[in-house]
Amino acid sequence: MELDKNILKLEMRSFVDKEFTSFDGFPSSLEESREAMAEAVYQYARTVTPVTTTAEIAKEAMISSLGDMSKDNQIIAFSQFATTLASGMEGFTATPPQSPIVLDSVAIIGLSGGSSESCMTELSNVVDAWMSTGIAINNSTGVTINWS
Amino acid sequence: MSSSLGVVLFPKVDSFVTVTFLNSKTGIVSNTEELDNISVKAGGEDLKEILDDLLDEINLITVPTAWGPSGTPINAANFSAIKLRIDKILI
Repeated sequence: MELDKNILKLEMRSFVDKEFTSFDGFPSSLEESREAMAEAVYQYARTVTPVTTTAEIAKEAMISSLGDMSKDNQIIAFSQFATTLASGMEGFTATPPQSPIVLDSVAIIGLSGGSSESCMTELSNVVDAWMSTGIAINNSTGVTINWS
Repeated sequence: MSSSLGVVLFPKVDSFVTVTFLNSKTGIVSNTEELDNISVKAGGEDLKEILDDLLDEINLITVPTAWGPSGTPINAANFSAIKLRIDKILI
């Protein structure tokens, strides 16, 4: 079990990339957008190591924090997601990523006319690198690992 | 005398019109009580076609976003409805 950024990319493309063969259509409301994004991040992170019991709760936390889907709210939502994810890593003392996620590189690609695929490739890279800064200390052995 | 160029007014059937005779055989409709349609063609262009093309293009608008190109306008149906309203006036 591990984080798979390709899953995140594919899940995101399914609702933002009309050129994608598995495109399901754009969300028709903010509610659908929040749900789709949180589902994509959930599918990506539910197999995180260490194992967590709170992935679904983390998804709900993300939905609650996404609000108007602004960049600021997305940053908060990722933080809420990771914090909730950490709380379910039983047998470990888990610490979510300490720095806010930086999404600017994704927006730069998109706003300069880049394709949705390019944006989602960058987003999945950014999220994966950020999530990997989460740490977990094994309560039995004392060994510290990064989330993976 | 008739023409499909310029501004052509089509009076509603059975409505009153004022006809001004230019001579004993030729008259022009110089005033109308009620219109069915208007045709506006000049400069090799047709106003209805231009408006239809404009609304079609509006319905295809996408803009760059932080996640890549946006979808088409979510209110595209409203523009399509406007086309139908234009169809009632312009031919």
